[in-house]
Amino acid sequence: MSGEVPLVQLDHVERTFGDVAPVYALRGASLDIGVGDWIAIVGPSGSGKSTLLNILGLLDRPTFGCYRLAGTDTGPLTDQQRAGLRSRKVGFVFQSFHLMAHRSVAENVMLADVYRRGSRVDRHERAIEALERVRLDHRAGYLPPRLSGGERQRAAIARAILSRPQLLLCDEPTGNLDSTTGAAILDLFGEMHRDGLTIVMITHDPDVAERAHRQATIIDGTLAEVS
Amino acid sequence: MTDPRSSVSFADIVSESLAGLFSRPGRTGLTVLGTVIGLAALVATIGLSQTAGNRIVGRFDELAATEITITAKPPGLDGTSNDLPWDASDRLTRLNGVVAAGTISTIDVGDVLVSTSPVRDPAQRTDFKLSIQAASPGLFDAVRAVVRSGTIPDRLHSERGEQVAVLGAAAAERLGINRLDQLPAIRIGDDLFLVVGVLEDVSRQFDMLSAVIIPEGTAQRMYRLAAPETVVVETRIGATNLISQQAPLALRPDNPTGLRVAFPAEPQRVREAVQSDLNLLFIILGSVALLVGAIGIANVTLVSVMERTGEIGLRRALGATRRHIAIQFLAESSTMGFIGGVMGGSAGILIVVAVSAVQSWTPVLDVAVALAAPAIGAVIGFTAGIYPSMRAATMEPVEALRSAV
Ligand SMILES: Nc1ncnc2c1ncn2[C@@H]1O[C@H](COP(=O)(O)OP(=O)(O)OP(=O)(O)O)[C@@H](O)[C@H]1O
Ligand SMILES: [Mg+2]
Repeated sequence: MSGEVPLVQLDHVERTFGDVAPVYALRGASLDIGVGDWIAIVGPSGSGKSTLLNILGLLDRPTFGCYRLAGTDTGPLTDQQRAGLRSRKVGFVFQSFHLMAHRSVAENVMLADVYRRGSRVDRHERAIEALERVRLDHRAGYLPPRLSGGERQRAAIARAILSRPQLLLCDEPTGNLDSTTGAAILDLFGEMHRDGLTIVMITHDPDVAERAHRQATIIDGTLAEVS
Repeated sequence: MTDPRSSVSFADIVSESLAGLFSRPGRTGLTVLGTVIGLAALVATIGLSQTAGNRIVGRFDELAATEITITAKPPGLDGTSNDLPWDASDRLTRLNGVVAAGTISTIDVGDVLVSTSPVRDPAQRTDFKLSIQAASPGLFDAVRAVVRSGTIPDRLHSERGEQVAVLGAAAAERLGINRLDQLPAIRIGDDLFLVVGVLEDVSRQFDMLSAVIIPEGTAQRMYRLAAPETVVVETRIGATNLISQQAPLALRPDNPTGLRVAFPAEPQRVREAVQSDLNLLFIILGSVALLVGAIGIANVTLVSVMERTGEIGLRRALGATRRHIAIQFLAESSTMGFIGGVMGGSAGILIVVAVSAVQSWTPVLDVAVALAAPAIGAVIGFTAGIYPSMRAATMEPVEALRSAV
């Protein structure tokens, strides 16, 4: 096997909703994403961006077509196997952060370790390290409601990178942030990209998309790379 | 190659469910309350019924297990006498297993009244209708008589037919006799009797307490008592059965079937009867409280599932399977039930101890009941969590993530 297998290989992936009059959320999307790529996917609301990201993150299955993650065809995998792959290979960053309000920042970060049976012994240390990478270790003991928007997203990023995933999937990561704070988050993505992380970032903001080094558009379920 | 499936350690399940519960301590506390009350009621009532039952039975047991009374059947048609012999006590005390034996008879004195002598206060009524009983010397041991003052007539009093009497506590009170140092005397009709003793209490034949008791020999001489009426036997514990078989032969070898032997019902059965009645009621009451507690846990867990939809989606995104989600909520509801069980069980034990202390009872509680409380609580919590956790597990991760804002 060559070392140049793309991390993500989408081959004519279709996703429809409903049986009678199916809604096409994705129409035959084909895309390769190499290890270490940073790709932005831009498109209007309802065009299928989240659907694509859900399939990439193994939260959803294509209705048709083949999706290979790190060379593995994900089609025949059981739900349990997909969950296992997801916990080890994929990190998520959401527009609305999804932090547990009653648990400290460090505990929120450590949650990423639970479903991959990460060692409990050094879990806290690793969480602090992840928080250091996003420069939020001084807020480790805070509850999320006391954090600013930018801090919350940095906590969420720390959680996403705790398990050292290969693929970081971000759905509108700056959507809830002002432009300055958003720029700081993008700087963080830049750093992690330089460290070799593969990043897929959804946005409807062309300025944000500019920061990635590859761009694709999706319009009405049809994916096309911009070069 | 590593196992590609996702998995969670037991320690993480525990710590995640505890964190889930203790992030909302107030709500958890209130939710658990129903189970606490239910199990406290259950443990306390079972404990108290055991304690009370033990008391009833405890007093009953050792007396009942050692008592036999023997009486004569009415004479047969052919005129054969079924009378008890005068030396009944001696015949029975010879048997191995008999602790004490004595005879007692009620004397028919017609309308004759009893009065003190001399009359103390002419203004007051001084003569009473009191039961007159004749007892052999051994009887007082057989009924476990406690003497308040004076002595008990012995064999010589009886043989010589002396006119002495012992008063039961109630009889002494009616006659106004409370001291023996001035040699009080009573009259039964016109016959004078010297009061030699007053009984404080007896454990059997309670009508002795309100009677005037004279020696058997005296009754024979003065009232023509033909034969003893009843033999009271105190046996060693567990010997009632054997003695009740041997006694008729010892008393009337010539005619053992003419005697009627009575001994109380098996104590074991009485105990069960007493307790099953009490327990049934208490178990119903406690169960109703527990049902309410279970509904409370189910409700709050369901609310919690709905509130934490976003968290469920997040956990799925982090690699949790449906099973992991179900396990987490089941663990949370079971833990609530368990906590309720520990608290309720402890509260129940405290209630049993406190009530027993106030009543000066010996608290009795089956260890199994105390230990069962947390287990029952956990089972209730688990059961209550089944539906909510199914709801949580069947959520689609994509939907769950989207629905949370
Ligand atoms: N569960 C579903 N059932 C039916 N239709 C769906 C479902 N999920 C998505 N869709 C439809 O698929 C299309 C793509 O949805 P998707 O959420 O991927 O859009 P999006 O590009 O992420 O939009 P936005 O920018 O608003 O988030 C939409 O028309 C949407 O209505
Ligand atoms: Mg979307």
